[in-house]
Amino acid sequence: MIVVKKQKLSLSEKLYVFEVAKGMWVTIGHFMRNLINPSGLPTINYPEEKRILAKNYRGLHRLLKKETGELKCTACKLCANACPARCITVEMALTEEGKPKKTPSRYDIDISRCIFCGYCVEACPFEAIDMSSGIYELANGDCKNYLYTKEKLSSY
Amino acid sequence: MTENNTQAVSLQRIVSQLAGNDHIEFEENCGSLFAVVDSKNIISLLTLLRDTPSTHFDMLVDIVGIDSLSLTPITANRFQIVYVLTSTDLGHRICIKVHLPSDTPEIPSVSSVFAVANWLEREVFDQFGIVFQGHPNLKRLLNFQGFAGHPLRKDFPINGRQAIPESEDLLDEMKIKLGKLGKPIESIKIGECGNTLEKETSNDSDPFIVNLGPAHPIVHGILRLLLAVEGETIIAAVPELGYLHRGAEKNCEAGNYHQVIPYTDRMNYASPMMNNIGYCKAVEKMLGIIISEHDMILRVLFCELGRIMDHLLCLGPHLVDLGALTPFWFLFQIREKIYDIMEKYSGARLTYSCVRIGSFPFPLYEGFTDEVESVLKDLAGAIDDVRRLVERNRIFYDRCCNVGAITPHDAIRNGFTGPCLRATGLEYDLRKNKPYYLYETFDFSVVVGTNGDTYDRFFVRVYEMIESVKIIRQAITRIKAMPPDSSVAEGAKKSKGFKKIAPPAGAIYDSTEAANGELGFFIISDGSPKPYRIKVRSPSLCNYSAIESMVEGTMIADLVSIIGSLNVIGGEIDR
Amino acid sequence: MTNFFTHLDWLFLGTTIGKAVFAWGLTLGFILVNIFLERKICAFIQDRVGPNRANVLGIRLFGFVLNFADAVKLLFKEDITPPFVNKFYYFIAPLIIMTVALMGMAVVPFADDLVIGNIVIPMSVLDINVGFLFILAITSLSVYSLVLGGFGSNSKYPLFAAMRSSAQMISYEIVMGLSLVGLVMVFGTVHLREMTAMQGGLLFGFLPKWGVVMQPVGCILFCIASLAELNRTPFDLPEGESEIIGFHVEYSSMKFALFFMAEYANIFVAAAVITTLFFGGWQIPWLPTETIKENAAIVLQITAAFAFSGVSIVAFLLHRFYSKRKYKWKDLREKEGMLLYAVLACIALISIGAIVFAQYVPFNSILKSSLAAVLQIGIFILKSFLICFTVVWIRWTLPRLRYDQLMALGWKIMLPVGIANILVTGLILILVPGK
Repeated sequence: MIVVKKQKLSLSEKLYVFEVAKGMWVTIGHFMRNLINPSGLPTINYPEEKRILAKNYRGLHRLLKKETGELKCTACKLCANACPARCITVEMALTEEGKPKKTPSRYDIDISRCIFCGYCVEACPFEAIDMSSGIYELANGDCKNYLYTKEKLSSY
Repeated sequence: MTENNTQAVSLQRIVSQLAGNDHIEFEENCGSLFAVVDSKNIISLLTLLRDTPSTHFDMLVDIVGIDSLSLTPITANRFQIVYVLTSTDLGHRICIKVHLPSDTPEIPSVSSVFAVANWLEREVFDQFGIVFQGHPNLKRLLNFQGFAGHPLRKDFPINGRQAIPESEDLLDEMKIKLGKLGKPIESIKIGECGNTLEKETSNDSDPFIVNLGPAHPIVHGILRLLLAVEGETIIAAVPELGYLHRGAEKNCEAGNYHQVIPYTDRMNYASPMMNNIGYCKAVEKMLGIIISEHDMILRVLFCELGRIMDHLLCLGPHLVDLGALTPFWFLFQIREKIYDIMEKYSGARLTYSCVRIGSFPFPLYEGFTDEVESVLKDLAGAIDDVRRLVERNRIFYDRCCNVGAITPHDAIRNGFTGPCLRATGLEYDLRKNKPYYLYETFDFSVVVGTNGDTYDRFFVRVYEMIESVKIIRQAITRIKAMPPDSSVAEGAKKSKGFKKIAPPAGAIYDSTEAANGELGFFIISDGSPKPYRIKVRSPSLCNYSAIESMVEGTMIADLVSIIGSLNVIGGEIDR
Repeated sequence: MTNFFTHLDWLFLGTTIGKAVFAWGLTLGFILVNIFLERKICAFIQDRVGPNRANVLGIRLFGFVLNFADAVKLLFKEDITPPFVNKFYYFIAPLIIMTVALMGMAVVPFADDLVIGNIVIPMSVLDINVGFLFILAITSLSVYSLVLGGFGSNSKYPLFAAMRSSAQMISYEIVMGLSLVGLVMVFGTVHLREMTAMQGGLLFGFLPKWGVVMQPVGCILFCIASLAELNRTPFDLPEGESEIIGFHVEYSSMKFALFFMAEYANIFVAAAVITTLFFGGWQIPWLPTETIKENAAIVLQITAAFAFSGVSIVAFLLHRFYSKRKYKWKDLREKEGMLLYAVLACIALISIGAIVFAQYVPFNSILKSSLAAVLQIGIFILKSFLICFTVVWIRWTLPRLRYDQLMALGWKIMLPVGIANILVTGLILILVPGK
């Protein structure tokens, strides 16, 4: 057990001035260090300089394609079910005879609702969706632009 | 397990003896002991449990309201209330369950027995419409006063949100308080936008009514206090909560067990990982899953990193509130570095959602331990700098010593946990008192203060960070020593995709020592894959519950310091 | 009318206007310098980069140019007058504080008397014999601004600030006055010109007879009291942004800017006064005006050598920074480095030129006097700059006092110490003969 002790201040500490000087010594140390070596500062000069994103950084989603150019997605809706924010809408395409075709006719993500938890990626058994696009600059003036459709999601 | 059982059995015996003639039914579920009692003599029972030395349930941890409308089997008693009691020195815990009828859900208030019950009962009243007879101030706590309906009732639609027509003036409470002080003011009237105005003819000696918050630099998150001040001295304070109320508990009921994890991130956003882990631990306990030793140690590591992050978030802004901006930056640099590590591991900087029930979703990345090591080294330097700046500085010392002091007795009655309780000198830490995740095998000390003032709360946190560093170092050594095949990678593979999780029907209360105190999850399962009810025992709410008595009589500048040192996190209070 | 003009001392009028323009220019210039210092020092102390973006044709001067951007922004911002304010008090408050700030410099001498032929020009705008009493009188007016601003805003938080500032500034004025009594006893005058001249002497033959040496306790008291008068941390209660936000919450646009500028102007005035009273004013230690005039060539050469070495250090640091930089600006800012190097090179060339010039060109008396004046003004500005730096540096080190602690410090610690200081000074003056 560690007890936080409250030691009474000594006379020199009670006089403010010496402790203030000690504190000023700490701050001037930082000042001099940064004055002599300003490039050692941790600041990132965004947007000129950008952070190196981690490999598994959860950025904007994208729908991956097979080598043939089709979407890997089979419209199984596991991602839509796993989504805590319920922002994914998937509809399966139908063939002309009305039978299900294993590809989505509609795959919308409402990014303004998305919480970027990565559950959709984790739920997908076909690795058809991933979040490693590294896009995080999503500011937009219009809410409508936050509806990402199938085409938009597979375009980058 | 057997040890737990014998303890539970002996506790059952003692409690039924205490209750005397009243018949008490006991249920046990996953290590939580439930005693079903009658609602009439709840006050006497709780007083008895509190004051008898053999039980000594001195802390009311939480009051959980339950609406069993769709819980099978259907009974005439629609509502239940569960009082979670714990003993700070004997270490046992009991849940007292009370059934309330559907038509007139009423129960005597226990706010005279436990001070913290004041707010907890208000919350239950707010969410369920259960009336607490004899409550001093039964108003809604989280929702606004004009809210129609009670949101956590099962027949309340999840999308039943309502717009707030106007803010509340809180003058009803303030007038009562001032009346008790012998300073009734009739001259106060309400102006536009709920602002209080004084008449031009107001008396010179009338106190000055001023709103602090909801948007004020010191209220981290959004809180509001209505203050009556004389000069700079606060004579009465009325807090208002709920500005960040998002209905997280209602939302949790709509998804499955996995989908709760992102919500827990957003409760205490200062240390999201600890919330993730606390929740997963509770669900695992319900399911009877025992995670591997590697995962346990990794969870300890993440918990302690989270604790450091949380304490950094408390200490830095606290110093900013006191007017010293520079230490804030020294501390936050370290926090950023921990963010970087967590981002590399989980893919997100703040809302990790990175623990799964039974495992971790990702394996540790290459070089994780080295990066943690280097951060720990930087942390030591930053703490050192900050301590040299403030520790013996008389300005800081005078601002903090004997400000907002609280006795251990009051702290327990107000449900204080975590650093705020330990600052009063009471050695109560769930990591030591109810060890989980192999915490008993780690070498660390509990930090306590002497008289529970701001200075103690500040330095308890500082020393706790140093202890956390010790734990992290041990955890790293142990993880490194483990064979790589028992690593998380396997668990990660297993958890690919979400398994359907449906715990057996029953209720459980499980808690962890989060950075702010005891973070508890009360989970009720009806056997379906959706949780029936999740109640979060938020440490911030209880720590904040004594704010009125702490600030009254101090100055405005002290209020700033007290709120800063309590580390109230709006997201956690309001949920 | 003719009578008036013929009797007018044209020389006096001309020089006074010139000096006034110089003093005001200096004060206004130092507003920019102080704001720049505030931003950059706090950034470096806190491990940040500070302002580095605002530019005019790519010229940023390490963020100095941001000041102009700020000024433009504040000038063109909508000037909102809240409907509930008391208009007269509300409008007059920023005017008072700015006026007071600009008047403070009037009596501060910034160089030794300029002697050209048989004309003697005292180098302060007003050479009046009440000296620092004038400054004390003027600065005590600034409390009206804070009180009227806070009260006139008719809002609750500014009223708190007004209440705090009135109590604080009035209490610390007493300490401020008391701390100077000792100085008056030592130097035997309140006239700032004479006081500065006396500080050129030496104590025990080697120590400059500065106020800080003669009156160390008085100096500390005065500096602390000045900080309190300036409302700077740790005494920034009227502005305590985490508690009551400040007396200027209801102000916007240029009216706010006046408060903001006055704060920094006041810092410079305080620094100038502290320099004059305690740090020898324009006196260059161990180098009285006569010595400068006699050895003008060597003094100029040494100054030039200092300038040259300073330039080389700056150039070295710049080079290091540019070579280690990890990012590139995509506009004119990328070219700024060349400009800075060019300016540095010019200064280096000028200083080399000055060394050569001093070697081969004989100095006449006008040149000698102006060299002395320029050097003394330079050293005065340098000393004031260092004190401004310290004021900013203290702000980013310390937390804020509480209201009652502030009062306790003023009345229970500083006031008794100030009185004791007077007693001790008096005793020493009586007991030690010839001092």
